[in-house]
Amino acid sequence: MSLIRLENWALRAILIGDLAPGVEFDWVIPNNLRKYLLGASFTLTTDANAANRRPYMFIGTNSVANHVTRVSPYLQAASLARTYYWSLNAVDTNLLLAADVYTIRIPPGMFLDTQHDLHIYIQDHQAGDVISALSLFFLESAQTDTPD
Amino acid sequence: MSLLRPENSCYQSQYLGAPTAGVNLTYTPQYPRRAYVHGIRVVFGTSATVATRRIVIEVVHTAGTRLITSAAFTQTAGNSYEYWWWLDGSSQSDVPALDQYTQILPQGLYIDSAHSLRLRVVNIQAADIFGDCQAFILHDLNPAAS
Repeated sequence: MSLIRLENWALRAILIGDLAPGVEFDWVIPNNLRKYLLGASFTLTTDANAANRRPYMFIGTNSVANHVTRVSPYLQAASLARTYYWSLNAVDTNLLLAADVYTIRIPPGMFLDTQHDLHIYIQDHQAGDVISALSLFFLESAQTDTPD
Repeated sequence: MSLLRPENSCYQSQYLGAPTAGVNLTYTPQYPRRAYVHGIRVVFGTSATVATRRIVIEVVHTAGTRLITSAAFTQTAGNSYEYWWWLDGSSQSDVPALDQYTQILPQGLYIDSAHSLRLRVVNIQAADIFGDCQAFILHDLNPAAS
């Protein structure tokens, strides 16, 4: 865990909603805001194309290589709907609520500021796969310094 | 570790209320208070109705979005278990005593007046009931209120 102090943090929940078929999620952090990711949730509905999809999350920057932060331990085959709850330090399991609901651990340290993008990608994503009901949960504070 | 500054906040044991039978436990700080949850202690008693219950910890937004989950061991009918969650603690059954369970509480349980802590019981039955519900939390005040 970082020693950065977010003394003026506020809790935020944003509902991104449904993405178009075949589209993955890229989120550019707005200027002058710093965020600390606590959770993300979405439903992935796969089309009939045979492939094993695997969601993962990474932080991208405009000047440095991307950092993969967490890869889902679960594969999702064709013609299925699965709901994913990515949560800070949660346990990887699909035994909590229902067999088609996965909780996945987000590691500590997901700080994002104006030089970062948050990406949720699906390995072997097919053209008809749909990410829906996407929402994000985070702490937010003003960014008072600027990147080098 | 919390991102709140301890020097601007206070630790306290917070009573979480007493839900009626068959109802999940929900706690929402009153504005302008906010909180980071370090520990939870509850007793959960199950009726004789045959079902496998499991307590799931969530943060619930007022819009209904559930974003964080965690879980306890499963609990069958006709039992009374005491659960102790602690931040990044251990997961052990019948410890420190029989029918007492220490559990891992994940980081990230920040709540405020719009985000509630909820202990939801999967397969809760009408006569199942929570008791002695407390949380160990770090409180502060929303700066926007000052």
